[in-house]
Amino acid sequence: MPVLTRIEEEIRDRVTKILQSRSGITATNRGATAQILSEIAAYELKNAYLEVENIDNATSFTRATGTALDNKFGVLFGKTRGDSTRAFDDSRNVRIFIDPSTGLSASGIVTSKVTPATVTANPTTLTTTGFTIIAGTTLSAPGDVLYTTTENVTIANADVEVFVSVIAKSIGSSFNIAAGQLTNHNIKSRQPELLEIADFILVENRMPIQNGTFEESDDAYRARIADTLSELQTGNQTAVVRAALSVPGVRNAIFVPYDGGLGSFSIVIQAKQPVVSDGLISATQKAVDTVTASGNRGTIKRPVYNGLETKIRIEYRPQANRALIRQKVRRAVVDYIINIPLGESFVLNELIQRVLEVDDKIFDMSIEKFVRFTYNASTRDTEGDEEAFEIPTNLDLDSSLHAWYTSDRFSTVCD
Amino acid sequence: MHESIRDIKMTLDGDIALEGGDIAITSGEDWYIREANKRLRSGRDWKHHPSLGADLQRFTGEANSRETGRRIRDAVAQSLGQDSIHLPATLDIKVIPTSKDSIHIVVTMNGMGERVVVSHLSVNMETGMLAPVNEPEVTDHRDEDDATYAEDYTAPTDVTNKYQRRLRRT
Repeated sequence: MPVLTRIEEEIRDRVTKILQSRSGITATNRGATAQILSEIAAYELKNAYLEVENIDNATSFTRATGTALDNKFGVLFGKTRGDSTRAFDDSRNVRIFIDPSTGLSASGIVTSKVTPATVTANPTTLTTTGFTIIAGTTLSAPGDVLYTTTENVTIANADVEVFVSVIAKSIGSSFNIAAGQLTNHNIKSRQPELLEIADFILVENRMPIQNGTFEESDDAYRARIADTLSELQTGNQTAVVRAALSVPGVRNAIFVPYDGGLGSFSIVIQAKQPVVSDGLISATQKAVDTVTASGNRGTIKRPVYNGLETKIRIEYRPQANRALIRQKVRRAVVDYIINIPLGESFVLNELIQRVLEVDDKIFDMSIEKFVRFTYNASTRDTEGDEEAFEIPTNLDLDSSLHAWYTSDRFSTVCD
Repeated sequence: MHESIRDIKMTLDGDIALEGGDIAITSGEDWYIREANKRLRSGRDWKHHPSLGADLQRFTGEANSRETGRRIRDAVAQSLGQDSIHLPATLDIKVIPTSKDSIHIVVTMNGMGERVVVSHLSVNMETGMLAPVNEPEVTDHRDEDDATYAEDYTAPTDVTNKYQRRLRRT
């Protein structure tokens, strides 16, 4: 039962009333001696009430926060608060590659653009057959988001690309990035011997990197402590789902029993980014494996992505800023489609409304192209089974484990 | 005036007064005199009512000029005027330079045919020291048997100004 506290004014009024009724004191003006004593008593008693309330909160599981939650409940159940982490990726995600427009492989670009003297002078990073990019190279994304490579990587012979593991320069979710955001590097300033070819070395992250976190919040920590008993039994549904959710970047996890027959289950995860990356699936699989019961098999899956390709024609009122409106419409279409909850239908009227709400200067709109396709999140491309609609319509998903997907690449807007 | 108001009595030095081992109670004119004394001798350091004190110490070191006197008078008026606890009486506040580095602050309360010196403070402008000025004693001869003095009173011999306590005529 929560402690009933009294505010300072309540206590003071009560003391004043007692004084008046028992001692005949009538002075109630500011500064009157009896009032001063009442105020002092009320102030001290208020602090006492607050202290009792704080103690009550700190010892109540549902209200404890901060160190009280850590020391009084987390320790008791052997759970420590999740630390802040740096975003990292050691899967085949971040790619360093030679500009395809050159048509050159690693050995080709070295022999054609680097002088033999430079090659001879830098034997550790340059050979006639290729070059090495040393660990610690900075890769950057818009918004001053910086990552560094954690290993030396060599592109040699006929290779045109290499994958490299990266880690964010600082902690927190603000360093999480969407696919394709890592575009710049500092090879030119860090490795002068590669000056001639640095402009032809490109970088990209094919999947989002989203496992950077800030310190676990009180609410998330409390929920994790509350699940302790279920987790301790391991192998049950709560334990495996909680293990999946414990991976940074996992927004939601849906348990699917018997997905591969008796003794099997799947967990379909949703990421904080539109698409679940291979790295996130791999990390989640590892986390779930640690609590899966012996003899059982759990598989982490991403939703089946149903892609939507649209081309929208806009009619404008006079004096419309067409370029800006086109951009905003494109953003609105992508936002609507990728935020449709898992398994829910695409509603055409909702899309139309979102588009028309973008700007008052939009007079009308029409949908020129409306194609449904299967999107492969690993290859980041369509899988070929497209279905074009002459007349756009509402669309349902095959199951509650399917999701809608689109991106700027699949959403175009024209005049 | 103020007879209906009763409060715990404080000495002029700010202590709780005791009478016969018990906490003393004050009321009426005496209550107001002690309230005014409390405000005039306080700074702005009351936790719950920081603006109540006149904070006369803040004038320490200032020139003993007409302008400073006016500002001191305003400070006293602002402090005593809060909550209008002097009503229905009116207050008369005088700031009188008494030497190169001291002034007297005299507050009188007028009302219902009475004129009472509420506070008479001497303020040293150099040190900021406040000291109450004792009012001269008066002798009332009206109750004496001697018919010569039956209808008269003796004014104090060391009266320094018109603001000091006068014998009340009924």
